[in-house]
Amino acid sequence: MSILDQRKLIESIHPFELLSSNELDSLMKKIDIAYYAKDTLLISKNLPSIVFYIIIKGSVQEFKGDEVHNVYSFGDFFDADALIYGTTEGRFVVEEELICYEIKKEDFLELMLNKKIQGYFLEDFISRHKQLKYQDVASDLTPFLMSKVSEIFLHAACVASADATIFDALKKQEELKANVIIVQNQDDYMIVTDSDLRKKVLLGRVSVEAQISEIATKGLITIDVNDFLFNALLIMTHNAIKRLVVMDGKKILGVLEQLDLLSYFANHSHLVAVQIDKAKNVDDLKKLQGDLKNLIVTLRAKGVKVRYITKLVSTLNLKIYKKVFDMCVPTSLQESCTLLVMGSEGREEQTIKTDQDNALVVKDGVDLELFVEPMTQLNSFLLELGFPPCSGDVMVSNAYWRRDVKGFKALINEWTGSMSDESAQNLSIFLDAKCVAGNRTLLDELKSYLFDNFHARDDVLAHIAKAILNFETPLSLFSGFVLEKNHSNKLDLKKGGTFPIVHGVRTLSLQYGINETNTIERIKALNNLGVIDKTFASELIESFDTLSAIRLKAMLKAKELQESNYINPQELSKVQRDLLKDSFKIINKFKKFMSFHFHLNMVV
Amino acid sequence: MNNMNRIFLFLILGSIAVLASGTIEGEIVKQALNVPAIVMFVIFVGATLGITYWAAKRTKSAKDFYTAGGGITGFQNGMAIAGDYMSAASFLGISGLVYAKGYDGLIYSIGFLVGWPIILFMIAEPLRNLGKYTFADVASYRLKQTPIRTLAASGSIATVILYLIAQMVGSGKLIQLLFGLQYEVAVILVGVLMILYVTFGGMLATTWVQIIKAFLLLSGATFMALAVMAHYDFSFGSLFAQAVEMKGLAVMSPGGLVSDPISAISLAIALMFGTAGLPHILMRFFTVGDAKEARKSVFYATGFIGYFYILTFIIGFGAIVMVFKNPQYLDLAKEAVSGGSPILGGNNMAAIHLSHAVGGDFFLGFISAVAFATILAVVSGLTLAGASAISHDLYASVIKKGKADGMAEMRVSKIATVILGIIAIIMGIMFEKQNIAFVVGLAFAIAASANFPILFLSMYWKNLTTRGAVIGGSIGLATAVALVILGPIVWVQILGNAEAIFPYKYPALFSVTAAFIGIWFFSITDKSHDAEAEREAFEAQYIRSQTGIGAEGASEH
Repeated sequence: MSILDQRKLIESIHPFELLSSNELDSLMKKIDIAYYAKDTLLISKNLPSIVFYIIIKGSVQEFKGDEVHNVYSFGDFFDADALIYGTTEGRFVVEEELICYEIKKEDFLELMLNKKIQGYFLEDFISRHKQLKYQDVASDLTPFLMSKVSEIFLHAACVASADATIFDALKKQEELKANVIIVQNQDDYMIVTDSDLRKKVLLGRVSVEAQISEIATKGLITIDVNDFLFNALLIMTHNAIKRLVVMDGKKILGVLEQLDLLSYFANHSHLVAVQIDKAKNVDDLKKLQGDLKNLIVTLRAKGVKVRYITKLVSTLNLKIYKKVFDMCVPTSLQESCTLLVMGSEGREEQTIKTDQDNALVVKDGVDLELFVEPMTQLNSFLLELGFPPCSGDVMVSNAYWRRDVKGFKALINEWTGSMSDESAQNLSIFLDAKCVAGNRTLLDELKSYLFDNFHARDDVLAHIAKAILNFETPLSLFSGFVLEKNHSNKLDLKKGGTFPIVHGVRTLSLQYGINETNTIERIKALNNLGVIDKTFASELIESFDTLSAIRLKAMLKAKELQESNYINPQELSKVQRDLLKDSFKIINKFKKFMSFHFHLNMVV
Repeated sequence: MNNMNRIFLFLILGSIAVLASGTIEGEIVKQALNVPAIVMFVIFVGATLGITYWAAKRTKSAKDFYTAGGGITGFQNGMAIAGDYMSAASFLGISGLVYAKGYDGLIYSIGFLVGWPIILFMIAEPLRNLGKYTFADVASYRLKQTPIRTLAASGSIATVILYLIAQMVGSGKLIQLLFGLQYEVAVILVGVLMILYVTFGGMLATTWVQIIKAFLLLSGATFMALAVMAHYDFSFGSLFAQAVEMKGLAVMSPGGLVSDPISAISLAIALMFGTAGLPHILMRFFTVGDAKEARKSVFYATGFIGYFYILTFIIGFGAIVMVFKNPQYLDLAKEAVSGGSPILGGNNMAAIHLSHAVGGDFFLGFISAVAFATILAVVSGLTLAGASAISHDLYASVIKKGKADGMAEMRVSKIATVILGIIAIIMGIMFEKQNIAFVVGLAFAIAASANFPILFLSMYWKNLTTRGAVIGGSIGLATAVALVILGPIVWVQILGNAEAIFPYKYPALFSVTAAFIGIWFFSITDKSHDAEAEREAFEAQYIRSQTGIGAEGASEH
């Protein structure tokens, strides 16, 4: 087994992959290989552990009393607790001839200085599980995130020989516009950063004519050019450093700056935005659609909170809307109307495109007919761009959703007076309206008219609110999940979870005249108004986040749109299942609150 | 909610089991247990709850997000209103009154019924148009929140407590009779059950509870009335003749109950105007889809309630002929002490005995279960209305000046429920001997004196001001409460004084008049700036209450 293979083996064992390559290198140097015959007693109460074993071949049984407590085999290791706590209750006996790595106690404990490794061995079971969950997310990495270091822009490396003067080295650095100086001493590399210069030359009064190696710091952290960018990020984060030297074998290729790395990830969205702005026609926009989905996957894999992902994606989608609007509506008409997105788009909660809900408000006195043609075109463009058509025909191509201000006011009056299913639904859609292009004062006027109309209409509000009770929360009396048999034992996250929160919060927002459309922003606004207290507000937000995260994952996986709301709790990790249960409990609490607040027991 | 329902079902059934087992071990057994009736009782109470649960669930469509947004129909709501209104007081109390006093009991029935046209023509539709469902909300529409809500809440709480007492007495007697418990124990058990029902069943669709309950009660009462009439070949003549034969001619003429015209008029005023001031009835208009359905629901409710009172009248006379002097139902111990022919459990239990007389143990169990479910349902509606007055009007609007968060309000509401329950238990024990229809009459008197004048004038009289409403309403409430306490029932019978300070049983004539005069006088003499603003706000409110269109909307049309 070559050294490289050994390194790979160690690296493949969790949590050792968390070590930086440097740490791993130094670890490899300290590792011994040992052989033990069958029935050898390795550790017991009276035989304290002095090394940490990693099994290459064979197996070891751990006895507690006379019972076999555990069996270790290839890739397993033992026994951290014995090393950390200095004693153990178990007896470790070789069952089959054992070949193993040994890490000395001191080395192991040194290894433990690394927070991640320490965390792994010290933390309790649940947090260990969480870490596994994190791994699970990371393993969803797309090709995008799996880009190699070679694909990113590298700064030129300023390599100075160890005997160069500080002055010369600095001059070279200036020429290359490099941020750091790498000092080469035969095969060993050191680094000089600005802070070294500050501390040692300016404050420490080392002469600029002195050798550069005098002020250099040892332990240069490097990454191979063929490594993944994601690993680069991990190494930087773990070591709290801002740059990595990129190596191709023994050759220095350049320096990877954290700033570049981060903007490479983040600005991918920025890039999409710029491309949207630059787009000249629908085809240009179409090309971007793939990027958008990639972005979602990437960001999620990076562990970005779903609410930020959705916000980002929504912003980009709104940009597309605006672009399409500009393409379809003649400039002369643009100030006489406003394009609204509604529903989940209006709430900025749509990640994967599931639906489009949009409307057009036209200034009073402007001929509505002028907008028929542009809106039909706008609609067809959107369809072309992959915005699925709205099943309820809530689209600008439908005259019902293309009205002047007066027409919309009449609609609002109708909604206030009637309690039909249709009214409740249309009102709910309209409540989430957000202006994406055109004259936004038109929407402001309608919103304030809407709020005035519903001022003190507790009855209609109650009828709107009661939709949140239409579906049972899929949680049983004993906190088990209630699964739907006709949906292959899955549960509906939207009906059971997100809808009650979204709709309830929306109704409360109507009651209190809250202009925000995003559910989380609305919850915050309700909290500010004192409708719900802070604890409950954050509980609601967390639950909503959890549900959205789980739902997003399901949506990314689902092949059909209809199935995308269904999840099988068995497929979730234990941690996620628990989070989901907690979220459902909060939803039940919220339903209770809503029932009390709107006297829902009277209206259902 | 699923959970809640189940928990609550467990608790109810569990409590019943406790009740039953208590009787087996207890030394306080007053009479032999009627096991078949108890079994029927338990089965029917369980079935009622089961049906309710099923019906409430059935309305939940698992298909679409916004289904059933339309509100329940006028017919359903009418049934639910009737369910809320046909309480233990109506069923047990009025049949008991008719049983005891004959014709006089009819005055109550009619009084209760006459309250409905008032609601129909004056209250229901404007209320629906305003989108307000509590007396406090309507009154504070253009008047000042804090003083009005304080007063409104006080009036509502006083009404709710008196009404609760009547239910407690009715159910206490029923449980006492059925399970052979001591009255106090029975009342405490019912009170605890009631608190559990409201706190855990609060999520239950109360509309469906009322609808089903109303249906069962009407069916049961119809059967009893038919059975009685069948016995007399459907001839009122022979029924009355038999009654007169047993109790004398007095049962067919106005008598002791309302001997003087002042009491009669007073009672009539309380019953007529009180209905519109009952907090839990006003809330029922919340449920309907629009003003037309609101009107329709009152129409249906009036029909159901009218029919029901005819039934109670027949049941009362049925009890005279079939229960009175029937040795099976006589309370021999009491007879030995005070003579007469007292029945077990007192006059309030006449209908229950009659159910046994016409349908045996099976039917006794059924009627008891229906009566019990009725009480629980009415009590839950009442307690919710009372707790809401405390948590929303007093706590959130007055104490916290509208700054209370919803969760805190909800907690206060729960605490209020428990406190109301405890008050109801204590008062229920104190009022043991009273006819429950009479106690309900008192509740109506308070509602008519404190709530109705402000409610009515705020909707129809431009010059009403906050000052007038607060002072006049307080006068009405204080007069009504004071006269109830000083009157013969509380002062003499409950507090044990020798002679009543206020000679009439019913205070409404005086207190309602005082309230109206007080409101009128202190409103027209109110020359403050605020008062002017309040008068000016009347028109917008009036337009909205009559058309359902907000003033801002109206000007655009």
